Amino acid sequence: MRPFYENLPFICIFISIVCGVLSAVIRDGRKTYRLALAMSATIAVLSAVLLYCLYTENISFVYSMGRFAAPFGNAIKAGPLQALLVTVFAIVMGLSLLGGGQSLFHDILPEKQGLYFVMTDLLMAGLLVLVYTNDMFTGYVFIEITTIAACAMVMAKDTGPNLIATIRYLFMSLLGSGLFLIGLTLLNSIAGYLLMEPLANAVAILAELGQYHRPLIVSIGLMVVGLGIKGAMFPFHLWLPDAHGGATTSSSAILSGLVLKGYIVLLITLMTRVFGLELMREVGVSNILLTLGLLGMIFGSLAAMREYHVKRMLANSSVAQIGYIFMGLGLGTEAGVVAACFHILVHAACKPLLFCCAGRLSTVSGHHRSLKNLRGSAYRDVAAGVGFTVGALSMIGIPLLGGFVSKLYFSKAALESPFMAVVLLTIAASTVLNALYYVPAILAIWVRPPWEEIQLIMLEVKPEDTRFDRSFFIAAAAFMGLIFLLGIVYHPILNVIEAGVRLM
Amino acid sequence: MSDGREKSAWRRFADWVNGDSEPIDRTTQYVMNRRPPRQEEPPELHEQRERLRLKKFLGLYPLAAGFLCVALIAILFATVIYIPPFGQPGNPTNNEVSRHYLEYTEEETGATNAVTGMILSYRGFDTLGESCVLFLAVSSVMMLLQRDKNNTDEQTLHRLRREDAIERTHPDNILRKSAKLLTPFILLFALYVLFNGEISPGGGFSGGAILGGGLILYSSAYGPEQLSRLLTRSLYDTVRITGLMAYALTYGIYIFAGANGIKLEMEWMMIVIDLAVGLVVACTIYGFYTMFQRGKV
Repeated sequence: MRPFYENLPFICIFISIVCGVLSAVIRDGRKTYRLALAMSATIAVLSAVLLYCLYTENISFVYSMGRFAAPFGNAIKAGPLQALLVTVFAIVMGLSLLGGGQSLFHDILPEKQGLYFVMTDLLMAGLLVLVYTNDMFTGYVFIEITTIAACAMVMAKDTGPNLIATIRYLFMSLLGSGLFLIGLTLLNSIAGYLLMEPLANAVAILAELGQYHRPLIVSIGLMVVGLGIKGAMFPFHLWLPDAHGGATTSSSAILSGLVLKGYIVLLITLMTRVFGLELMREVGVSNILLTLGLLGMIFGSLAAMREYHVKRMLANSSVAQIGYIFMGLGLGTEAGVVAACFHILVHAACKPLLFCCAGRLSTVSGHHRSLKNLRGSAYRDVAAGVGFTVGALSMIGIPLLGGFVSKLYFSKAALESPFMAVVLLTIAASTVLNALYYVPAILAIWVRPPWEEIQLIMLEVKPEDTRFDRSFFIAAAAFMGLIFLLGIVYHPILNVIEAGVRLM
Repeated sequence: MSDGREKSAWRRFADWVNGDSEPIDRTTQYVMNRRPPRQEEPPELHEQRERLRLKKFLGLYPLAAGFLCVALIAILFATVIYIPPFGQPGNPTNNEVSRHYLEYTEEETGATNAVTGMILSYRGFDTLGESCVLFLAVSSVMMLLQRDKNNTDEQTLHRLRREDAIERTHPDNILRKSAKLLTPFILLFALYVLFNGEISPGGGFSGGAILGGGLILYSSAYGPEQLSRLLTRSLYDTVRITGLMAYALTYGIYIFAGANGIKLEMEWMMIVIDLAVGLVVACTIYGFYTMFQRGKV
């Protein structure tokens, strides 16, 4: 008889699927919204309990999904890292819905709001399985779920540019899934397993004997590129600014904070559990990831500097931040993976906060999105202004905030790498570039424009938009708390991640 | 002189900080902000320029796309040469997993067909995921195409009404007669595949597809109104949701019991899952058809 806490990952997955189906039954926007919030809270609490149990006992376990033990049936595997990621993902999901709630109900037609929450709930299920899966094909199936749900969330705000962005996103996503599936098929035909542990053994034997060398490299390449396209790795990121910049606030927050990370977590699982970091270094995939990550850090920031539409600026900045994560993975060491995992958490806390605050600031400025029209808007909603500032400073990497710690650990991980100088210089350059677009944005929202300009803007603002938005306030405060937590008490969190990577 | 230049540099910096693309003074910028979007350019000139841009793009794009496709195809062909030949006994895929499936499926799951046993029992969680994919796909199509004030205007509704009227006055007799003859048999066959599917080849996916096909044939012959009187929106939703819910709950109990070593008689699970998948698939196929055709169920 296994201890009860080992059932928690399965229960979380089960809850989110059932909530998704229930949302389709209820169909009423407000009720399904509350259901989605309750679901996120429940999953966060259950996963936190799981995290506590796993970390104190320092174990990870395989849970067979049904009567048949692996490798015959499906299985999931949970360790401290997975539990931590899921806890944070569930919290971020709930807070993103809370923070963008007002514009959500403004942007989406009432009769379609219920369907939106079907998407969010099943998206949560997809993310949970992407994190927990111990079976390659299960991973693929839930990649599809995540893809469809994410595209529908972009589409939910039914405007022309949005539909175009969705089509682009859908095509790129499907290309990514397709490449992943081809890679998976090739790998299965030469290794013969789908479950990760036997697959890892088979791959290790193949690599040692040098058998099927080419198919192995091609399949690794296809899977990495497939997940890279979906995770907005540098040259494949062109779908991202439109999709993330145009969607409704909650969707942008969830897409950039969670959906990108789900695919990257699966990639990390593949790299550490299936192929092994050593093989990744040997076949040169690590170096490619490193190069693309570094390029993404620079070009994402350069693209963000040219944007004057605040949400598109944030979306382009995501490309740069994802570049950091791929750079960490490309270092090919355990320290690099740990730093990348920590940055996943940091970015999952900062970017949704920034999107929610940007959404709120544009709501109190007559739904304008360009920075020009947001001038002085921080005074109209101070919480949003403070939240934006904290999030932006954290992205730049100011001490006491989460972004600083991840940059510190990236630099520390880079010290062991043969490309130390390049990596460190790029981190420095990217930090300056981050500051070059975040600082002007912060100044723009805090500097009061001339009086007549304010009046002109206020003409377009409806009175109900400027009312104090309690749920946004709670979400922003919680996000800021999370960022400070990641920036100040980072030692225990990094210990959990290190233990988790060891127990992968 | 130098003072003025310094000031302008500072001004440029301040403007940049304020988020303006061009360093212009406040008055100009104020006017620009308040001015309606530029309309001076004659539309044909604008159109011409857009067309030129599109032409350039369309010239370059197929080239780049073609190059990428050819490169990918070349890589994949080069790889396929090296993978194990099809159907050899010594292939890596012929390991203890596939042997186990072939030898023990009937004993362990009660299914006479190994593939059915794998889909519904051994790897039923993947099938649950696939059912969720279908469910999500219909939900997204509903989100996009269901008639609402954003995507429907009076003109579309008028056109639809006119088409309905033509359909009523000039029915297609050949189609109607053959549909009348065929539909019962198609539905009967669908039921056979569904109810027999939990042990034999076939199962929920194919049975559901046949069921959905029968509904589509009936609907296209007799007009969607006729069928939607029988299969109303609420009935459709009930069936679709019950299907997935039944699957999720049954399989949830099964996973929980199986993982914790609780002995449960789950002989009935296969047929429930089989029927649930069938209903979800049928609803997906029919839902796509009617959503794309009418924008409502």
